[in-house]
Amino acid sequence: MNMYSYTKRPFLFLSFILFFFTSCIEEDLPSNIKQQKFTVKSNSTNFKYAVKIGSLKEVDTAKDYHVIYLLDGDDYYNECMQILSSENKENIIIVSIGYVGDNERGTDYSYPYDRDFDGDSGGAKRFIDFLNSELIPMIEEDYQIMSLTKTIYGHSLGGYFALYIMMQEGQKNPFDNAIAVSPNLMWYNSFIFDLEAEAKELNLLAGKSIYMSMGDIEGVGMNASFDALAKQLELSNYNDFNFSYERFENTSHRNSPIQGFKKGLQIIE
Amino acid sequence: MKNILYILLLSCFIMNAQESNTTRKWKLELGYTTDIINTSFGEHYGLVFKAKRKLLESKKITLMAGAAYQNSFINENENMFTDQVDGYTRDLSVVGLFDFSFYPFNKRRFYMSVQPFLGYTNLKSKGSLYIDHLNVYEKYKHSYSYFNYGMINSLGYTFNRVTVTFDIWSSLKGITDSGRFRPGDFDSRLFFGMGVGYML
Repeated sequence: MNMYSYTKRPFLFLSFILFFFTSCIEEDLPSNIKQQKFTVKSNSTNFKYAVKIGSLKEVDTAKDYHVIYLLDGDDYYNECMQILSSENKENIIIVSIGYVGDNERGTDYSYPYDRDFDGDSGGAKRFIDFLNSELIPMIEEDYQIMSLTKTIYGHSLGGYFALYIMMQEGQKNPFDNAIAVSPNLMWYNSFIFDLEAEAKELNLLAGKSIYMSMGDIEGVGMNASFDALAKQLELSNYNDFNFSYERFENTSHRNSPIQGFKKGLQIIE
Repeated sequence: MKNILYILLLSCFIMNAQESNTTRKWKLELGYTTDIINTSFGEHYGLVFKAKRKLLESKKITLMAGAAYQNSFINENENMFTDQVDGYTRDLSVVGLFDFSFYPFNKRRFYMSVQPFLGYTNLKSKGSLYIDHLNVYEKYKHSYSYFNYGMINSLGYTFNRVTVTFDIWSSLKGITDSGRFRPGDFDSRLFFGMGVGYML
C-alpha cells in the first residue's frame, strides 16, 4: 500500500492539528453600529484602558440614554452590540472598558487582595475611583452622554465586581443597576456574603436593580454560591429593590456571558 | 516507589528493544491527564484508557481504530478562592476513535498522531456551600450527559512494543452550536496528558 502522498506533506498534517486549536469564535461588529473610541491612562489604577462607546444611532447630546458600562469589553463588546442591534435598543449606549497592553481584570475587579490568586489582585477600590473620577466624568463631559440610568455589566470576576460596587459602602456607587453573569461569588473565602449582610444593615440596595444568572454546568462552588446569594437577596427587605435571577440550562462558564447580557437588559428602563 | 517504577519501565523497554511490531495488531494506552484551564475550581486528576486495533500500515503512516474511556475529577474542596465549598465535579466519557499516526523519520520511533473521537460524556457536580458564621448552607447537585466529539493530538516515542506518549485531549463540543470558547470549558474539556502504550 502506498500512502506517501500524505507523508510528503508533514506541514499539511500539522496544520490539520493546529486547526482544532483555533476554534474560539470572534464575532464581528454589526455594520450599523456607531462607535467612538479612545484610550485613557488612569491616575487611580495606573493602567491604560481602551474605551469604546457604541450605539445604534449617532449619539444625540440632547437626549438621555441608558448607559451600560461593560467590563471585559475586549471580549464581549462586539457580541453585546449585536444584541443591541438585534433587539433594536436605540436608547441604550454601551461603554466598553478594555485594556491597552496587559489585561488587568484580576486586579481591577477584585477586593480584597487574595494571595492564593495567580497574579495581582485586590484593586477594585482603585478601579471604582477610576470609574467615579475619570471615566464617567469623561463620558458625561467630554462626550456629552447623559444617562437616564447607569448599569454595570460583568461576567465571572467582572460579575463579582458588579455586585461588589453595589454592596460596598466605602465609595460612591454610581450605578443604578448591575448585571452579574456567572459571578465568582467565592472570591476571598466568599467575602461577598459578609458584604451583603452589611449592605442589608445599611439598606444600600434600596432603589437599585440587580440581575444575576448562572450556568448549570459551572460546578458546585459557583452554583451553590449563586443559589445561596439569590436566597439572601430575595429575603432582604430593601425598599424598592428589583432583583431577578435565573439559571441557564446546559450552559458552561464561558458560554454564559452573552446570554446573560441579553437577559439582563430586562432590568433596564 | 518512583525508583521501582523507573526500573520496571526501563526493563520493559530493554526487554522489548529487539522485537518487531509489524505483526502486532492491538495497542493499549493508559495516560494521566490534567486540566490546567480550570484549576481555580479545585485540584484535577484524570485518566484516559485507549484500546486500538491496527487497520493499515505503511512505512510512514499507521491507521488504527478503537475506543477510549476517559475519567476526570475536580476536587472542589481544593477550590482556589474559598474554603467554604465541599464537593466535586467529575466527567467520564466513552468514545470511539481513529488514530492516524505519522512517523516522520526513517526509524519508526518518533510519531505524531491525530485521533478524532466521537462518543458520550456525563458531567456531574455534587456538593455544598457552608458559611458557618452567616448561617448559610446550600447544596448543589447536577448531572448532564451530552454527545461529545473532538480530537486527541499526540506525540509519541516507541521502543518497539512500548510507547511513551504526550497527549492533548480537546473536546470541540459546542463548536457547531454557538459555543463561545472551545475547547477549555466544563463541557468541552482540554486535557494535557502523559501516558504509556503497549502493543499486543
